[in-house]
Amino acid sequence: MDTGEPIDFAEQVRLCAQKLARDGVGALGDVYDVTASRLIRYATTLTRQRDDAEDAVQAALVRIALRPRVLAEARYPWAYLLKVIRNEALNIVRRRKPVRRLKVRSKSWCEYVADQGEQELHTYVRRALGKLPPSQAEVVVLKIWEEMTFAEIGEVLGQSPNTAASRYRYALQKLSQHLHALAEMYHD
Amino acid sequence: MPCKSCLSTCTPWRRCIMTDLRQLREIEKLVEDSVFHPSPRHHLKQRVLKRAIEAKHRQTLWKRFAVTSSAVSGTLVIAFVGFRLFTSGPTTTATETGPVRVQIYSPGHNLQPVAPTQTSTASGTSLGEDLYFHPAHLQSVDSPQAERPVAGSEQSNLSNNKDVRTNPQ
Repeated sequence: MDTGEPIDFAEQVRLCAQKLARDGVGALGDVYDVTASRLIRYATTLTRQRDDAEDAVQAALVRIALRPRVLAEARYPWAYLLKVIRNEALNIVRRRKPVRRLKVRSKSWCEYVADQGEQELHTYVRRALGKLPPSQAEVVVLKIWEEMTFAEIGEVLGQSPNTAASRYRYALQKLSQHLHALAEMYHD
Repeated sequence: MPCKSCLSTCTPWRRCIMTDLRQLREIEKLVEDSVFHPSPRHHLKQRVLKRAIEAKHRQTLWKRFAVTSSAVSGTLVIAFVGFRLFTSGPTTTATETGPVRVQIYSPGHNLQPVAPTQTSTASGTSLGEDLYFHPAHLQSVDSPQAERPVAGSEQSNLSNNKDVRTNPQ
């Protein structure tokens, strides 16, 4: 029944998960269409590389396709999906060779975004976000871009909401410092 | 009192915190405005779907293999147990009866079972002497309990005969 009202994103994910559990792998395309962009964005925050982020998304969606009922029956399906993505991304980061990790430092995920020709200020912000530690950057992404509560963020990270909140505050403080430094560097 | 976060002695801490909060809200707003939506690469969806279908197929095969192998192994176990029960039936009955008793009979044996305990207690000899038990020898020995059944049977026969003979009717 279509009431014409815009469906909440989390509710949309829940519906897709239920369809996936009902119809099987054929419905995975719907889950991908709804979530892929956000999943890649979150995975890129952790892996700092686009290719690794896509690998993480692929591994997570395959894992979900094998056990779709777990996602459909989760309390917060969107948070559960992000948790699976997080685990896969961290596995990829752990498996990386140390030499490649040095390359990641030089090629930040924000530089990919900076190539899009967007506003300069937003480029600074993303660049500063890329300089944060992944544990703090992911909290900022989940809180601001994914519009999650600290309770939901805590569920994704496997931490308490208070820990998530304190990480968020530290992240914003660091972001502020980075932004000042970046602004001075680019305006000089 | 100097502010701990910015370490400046000139700014009072209350004003500094307010400035800090305002700054953080501004930062939040900035980050919110600079949201981006990365478009996934074209081939990623096809790759994900292909891998998912392959993984699902593998999972189905593994499930079938597990079910088949467990069924086969269960059937084999049942068949083996059934075979063992069927073939070992008579052997188990023989063992249940205990060790086989062998009796050696001499030509003069009267084919009547002799209770060894009764004989030993009656004669007052040890149990070891029963191993050399010989009926022919026993007949020569004046043992009333050993001879009683044989003599009794003869006597009864004789008495029966006597009764038949003496009875004039």
